[in-house]
Amino acid sequence: MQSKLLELHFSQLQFEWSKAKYNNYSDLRKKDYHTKLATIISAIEKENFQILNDTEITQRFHVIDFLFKSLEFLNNSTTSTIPFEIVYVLSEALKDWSSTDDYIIVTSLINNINGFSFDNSLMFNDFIYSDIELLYDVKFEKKLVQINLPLSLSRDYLANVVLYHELGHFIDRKFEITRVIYIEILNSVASGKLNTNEQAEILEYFPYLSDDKMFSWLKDNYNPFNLFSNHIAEYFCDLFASQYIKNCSNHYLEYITLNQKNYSITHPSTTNRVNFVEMFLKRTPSFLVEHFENITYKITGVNVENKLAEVDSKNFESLIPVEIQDGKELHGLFIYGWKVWLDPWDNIKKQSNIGFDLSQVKVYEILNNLIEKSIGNFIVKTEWKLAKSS
Amino acid sequence: MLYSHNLEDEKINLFILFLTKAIQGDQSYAPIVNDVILETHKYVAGEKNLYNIKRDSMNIILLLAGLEADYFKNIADNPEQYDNKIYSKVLNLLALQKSHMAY
Repeated sequence: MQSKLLELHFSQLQFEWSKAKYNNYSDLRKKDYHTKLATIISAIEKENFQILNDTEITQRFHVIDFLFKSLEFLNNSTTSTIPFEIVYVLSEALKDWSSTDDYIIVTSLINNINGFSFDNSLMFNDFIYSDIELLYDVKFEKKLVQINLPLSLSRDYLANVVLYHELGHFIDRKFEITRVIYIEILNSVASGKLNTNEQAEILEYFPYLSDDKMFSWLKDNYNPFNLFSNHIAEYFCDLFASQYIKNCSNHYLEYITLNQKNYSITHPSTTNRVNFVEMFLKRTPSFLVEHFENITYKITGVNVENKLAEVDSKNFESLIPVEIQDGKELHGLFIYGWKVWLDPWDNIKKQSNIGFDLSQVKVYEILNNLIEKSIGNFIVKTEWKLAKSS
Repeated sequence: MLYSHNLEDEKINLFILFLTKAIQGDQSYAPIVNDVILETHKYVAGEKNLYNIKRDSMNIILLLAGLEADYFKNIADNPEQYDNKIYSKVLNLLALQKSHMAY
């Protein structure tokens, strides 16, 4: 019975692979990853499922799941489907936290207008890579960082600032930052050594900690999906994103959440999230922000700080791309883009000497094209320099 | 959703599977299992802390440390001495814990 179900599972994968095996990628690292998938599938094809014991069947179940998950993202990361420019910018941010080039950012474009999320199913479970190496002698030097984004907004560079937050989820899980903050905050409260202001701040951002029963339950029952874990992770990712795009994602967040005043099990209130980021950006003394910063530094060796360079330009108002100088300015581009969107659009009319009014959808199209072109030009210039120097 | 997919469970399941393979005599799985047991020992013995224990197996290390700290404290710090008796003990701890987990 079990082996027949494994046959079904593998048949489903073979059917998917019959199309996916023709995928083309612009990134050599993805091609290499794809070739490794082909090697594993070819090895499984040679296996006789009838003679496998329960443990061996379970192992194949996990491997086939891994292959499916990899394809789900690689299929949306081919030359023709990947939102190349935004992935490039996120990869630049990733270099600040992982200098070894061990990760490939891949995207899945999903049919949900609010479908921004980080999928940790592949990077989180290192054991599956070990098992694959032992079973099939295939070693993955690069792992996939899977980011979901809405298909209809894949080239919307205003909305896509929230992807920095999603990248923050990857960094959080890679270093298990939330887990440490979780333990340290509860220990601080339990120690009784916090002053009145520190206690008040903790209860403002995690109001349920005032309930003794809840406090004890959280202390004894850690899991990464309880509300305290979820809330810490969200605050961390907001903090992470604001290093690159300041408070730009707050514009979008406040709107799409209708500036939610109450927390849910998965997210803190939007007002708290916005305030948390503002404390960091304005350097307002804050026990919690300092706690997050210190713990992150102690684990990663990387400071939580401004990692962008502001773009001082009037190019977008003149309808021409910006010449980006370095990776830090790439992040600053989004702040400039948001500024142009939020400023009166008459600025564009005046600066570019056009004699007619621009509709909002025209400004939207123009602005996104200009941001995309600015990133694209930087990529070409960088690649050209690299090619010349090698 | 047809069923709840829990990555924490999945990770523990794979670790249990590796323990099982090691107990069954497949020595290729022993280094992975030993690494987690040794890291748990170092954590409860105070040689390592929350900030420098290995991140990829941190949740299992903290889980094991929370289940029976004294056992791991007294375990040898030489993985070559880890045997089926230790693997079986760890397997039982995790199996018991899994039966009580309610995410």
